[in-house]
Amino acid sequence: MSDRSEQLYYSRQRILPEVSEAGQARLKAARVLVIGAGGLGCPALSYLAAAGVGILGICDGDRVALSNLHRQTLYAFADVGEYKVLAAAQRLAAANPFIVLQTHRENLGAANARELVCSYDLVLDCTDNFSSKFLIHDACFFEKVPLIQASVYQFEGQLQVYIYQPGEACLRCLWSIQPTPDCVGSCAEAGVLGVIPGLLGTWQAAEALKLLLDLPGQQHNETLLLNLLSNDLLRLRQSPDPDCPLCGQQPQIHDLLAAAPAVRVPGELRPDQLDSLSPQQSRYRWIDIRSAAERAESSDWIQHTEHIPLEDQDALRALAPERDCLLFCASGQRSAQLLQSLRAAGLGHVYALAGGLQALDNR
Amino acid sequence: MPEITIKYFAALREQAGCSEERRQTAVASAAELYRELQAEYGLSLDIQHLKVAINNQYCPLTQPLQNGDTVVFIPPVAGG
Ligand SMILES: [Zn+2]
Repeated sequence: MSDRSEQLYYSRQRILPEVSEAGQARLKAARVLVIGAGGLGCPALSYLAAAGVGILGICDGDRVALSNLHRQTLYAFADVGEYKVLAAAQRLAAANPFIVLQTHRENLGAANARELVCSYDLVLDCTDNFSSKFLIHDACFFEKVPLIQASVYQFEGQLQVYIYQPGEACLRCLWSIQPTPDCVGSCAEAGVLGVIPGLLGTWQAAEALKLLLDLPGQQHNETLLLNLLSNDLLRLRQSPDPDCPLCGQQPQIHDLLAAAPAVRVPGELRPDQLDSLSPQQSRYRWIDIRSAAERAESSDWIQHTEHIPLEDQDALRALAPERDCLLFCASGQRSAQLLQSLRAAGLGHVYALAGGLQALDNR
Repeated sequence: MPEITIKYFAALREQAGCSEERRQTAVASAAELYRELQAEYGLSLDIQHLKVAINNQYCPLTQPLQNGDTVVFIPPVAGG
């Protein structure tokens, strides 16, 4: 009896020749993780659950807020204050009892992201900030788990699919370093019309089903850009960048980057505030102030930086003003102190790498 | 003078006050075009925070413009 009900549940999509019995079995065998159970995540989860994705993961550490409800349609008024993963799982289980829901009530970080994504076949990034998006993208890149990413802003949305196969462009081919949050508004600051994440989250689910069912017309090497106010739907083609710091010929990022270090002193710059993570391409003179012994133990790329040890105060105080200088040490302690004294001596063109080499991680 | 179609997204759309416009311009590259628009509309985003696509292909900001080109400036977007 229960098996018959399941047959009937999916009957309207199973009669599609492109789905059929085999496709429905593929969906049931699939493990899909949706990160972020908000405006994008709600419709994505609803449709993936209803389509019969066998194992559906939901990852979110937040609770439902009243200001979420205009766009996060999985939640009821009474859910305000409840953890999103719990409210969402309850609603989805009630809608489809034939699937398994796995809840991850946690926020992602460099410590858990790779482990989480690697137990799924496909990830949907439905988060709302750059650090999560870059973290998830890099985690999926290293674990070779396909990723469907979307972002929204007011009346617009963007969507990208990354399969991480050779010859394919990645997120960092376009944005080699993470944009700072201040160069664009969030939903909280800039506002968003509820249907926009509704449309984009649904589109993510559609791309997910196309990928799982191996249907034609899958997104590849392009950005889908939707503007509701002009009804423009653009497909912007992207080529891989051989100098990409992640997937290029000489990658500089070898593992997930830790959270951005705090800036404590004026003139300290976080890695994401630099124009380039490559000293050769940077507009700054990268100056290593560590000892010769520390420097000797560094990776090869250090050869592209200058060495003026901290003891050589005369040389440091005489740094020519023609080009901005970026001081760095191992953890950012010494460079911050030196920065303070040099700035006090009137050297306004000197900066320091916040968090030091550790912040650049295992480059 | 060459005629260029420009499409605005996100913060740029807000500041330009429209989604699309056509303009005749003598500028040589996408970067120069952006500076012209920046001066006219007071666009706040620095050019280094933007990507540009010409005729639906992402390309360097230095790419020369040709009559009839459609130029899209894309700021980073992260909302969800
Ligand atoms: Zn890349």
